[in-house]
Amino acid sequence: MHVPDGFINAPVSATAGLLSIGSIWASTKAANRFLADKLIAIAGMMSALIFALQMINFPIGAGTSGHLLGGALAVIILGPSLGILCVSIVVIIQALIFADGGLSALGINILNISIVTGLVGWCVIDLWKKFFGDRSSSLIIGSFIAGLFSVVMSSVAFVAEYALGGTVSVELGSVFIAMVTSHFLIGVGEGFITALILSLLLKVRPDMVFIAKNERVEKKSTSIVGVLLFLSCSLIFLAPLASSSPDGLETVAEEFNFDYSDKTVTFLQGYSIPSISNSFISIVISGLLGILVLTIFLNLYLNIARKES
Amino acid sequence: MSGDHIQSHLNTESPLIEIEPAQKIISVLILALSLAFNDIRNPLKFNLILICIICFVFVSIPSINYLLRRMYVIIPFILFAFLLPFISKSGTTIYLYKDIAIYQNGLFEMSNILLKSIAGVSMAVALSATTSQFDIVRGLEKLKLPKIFVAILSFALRYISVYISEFKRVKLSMKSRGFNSKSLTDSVAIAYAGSAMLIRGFERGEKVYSSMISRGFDGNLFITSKKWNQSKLLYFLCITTLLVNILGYFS
Repeated sequence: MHVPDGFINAPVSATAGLLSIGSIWASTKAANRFLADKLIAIAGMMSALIFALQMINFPIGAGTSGHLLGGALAVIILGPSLGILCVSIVVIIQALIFADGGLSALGINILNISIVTGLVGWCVIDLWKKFFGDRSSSLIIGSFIAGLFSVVMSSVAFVAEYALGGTVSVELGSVFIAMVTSHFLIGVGEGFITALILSLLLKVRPDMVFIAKNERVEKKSTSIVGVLLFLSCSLIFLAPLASSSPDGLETVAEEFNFDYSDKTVTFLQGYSIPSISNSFISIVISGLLGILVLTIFLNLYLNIARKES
Repeated sequence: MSGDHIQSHLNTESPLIEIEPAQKIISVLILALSLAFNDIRNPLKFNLILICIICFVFVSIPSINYLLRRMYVIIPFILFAFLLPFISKSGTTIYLYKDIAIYQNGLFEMSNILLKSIAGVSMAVALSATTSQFDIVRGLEKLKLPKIFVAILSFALRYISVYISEFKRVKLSMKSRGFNSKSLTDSVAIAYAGSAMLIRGFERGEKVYSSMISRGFDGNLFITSKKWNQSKLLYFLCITTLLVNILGYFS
């Protein structure tokens, strides 16, 4: 599901955009060694295939339908850096050329569809490989679980963005239940298809599956430290921005004689933590939360880059 | 060349067709982001930016029909937006008929989502109406995106259409062998068809790559550069939007 413009408010979109830019930058840095390699052509083919797979909607009951995301498949076959890059490119093509998903929500879509699915899928399959060995049967079961988890976590990421900056005041709990249950069903489909595709690939061309290869190349982690610094700085700058915009609105609302206090209660809740009355403390807490999430993300990245290289 | 049926239908009569793609991409992003960063409860700024966007869209597209036909992707969100006044329970209540009520806050949210998503989609449609897919790649390369990113992007764009036509062919041949998906076990056949396509694609990728190497590929994609013009209209729209944002911020 691609989020259109205007669904998530601007500060959260901008933060997601910065996170996406940083992640894409880190993965291009890690993937640069493939530039003169045949993997680059294969990565292009993989993006094209994921695009084609995302076009197929399948019904999941109750009048809704879902489509594959393909993040887990991409990281299993191409490795985390190229895999995340591939799916990000699919999302960018969809937004710029096929008008699917909003332009200002591009960061959110990249974050949900490629980065979260890619990271979660890679973590699951990597842990699975560590615990159950790299026989093809265990990898196939692991890929099913990776596909399932990646889609569910992608929907959880959407709910988190909605909680931080949703522009509509539909109850958070009902959004959570609707998103996660429907995406559990989509995830079962995704895991099933991921496992089947991987099983055939392992039979026919096992040399093409990254997870079955145990590649080792030299280390390259300075770029990731740079990304950490860049993103934490930008988040620190964005945190006060996230809190200042309602103030501007407040004055405008008063200027145009809106019954401000009555209408924008839920709107304010989107920016800060609702249960805390002191705005400064809630801003600081939300900023710290953001940086915490970021650090977890980048730690994952560091580990992955180390394992990959 | 096989499978070029999703090449976008360019609007050759638009004045923006000869304009540098990088400039078009940047202007679209500026317009979309400034619309997203403004709120509908601030009507003056919002409407000024909306007028700029409408100018851009109407200079680009050939007809309204063209726009409407390509907007189908946001239909679910439009339907959801029309539900909002009924389910978003806050703000002043307006009674339509006896117990059926709508909420003012929900009305704001509905118009916010409707306007922003429709504007976003029509801008993307307008961009693809005046810029071919490969010109968009050229533009992104000119904007100094990483080489590997641009390379994968151009590969993906070239082979999406190939994959889609191949997928249709596979579906047709499965159908002619008497396949109709009814039970869950049939999805195994679909997944195997997909992975067969993937393997075929991988092998095609290897062949394409070796032929590129033999033609002297070293990581740079576009050697020939095209002459582009700069558009005064786009400069005007972008500067107006930025001014509206900046002045609105300080006033």
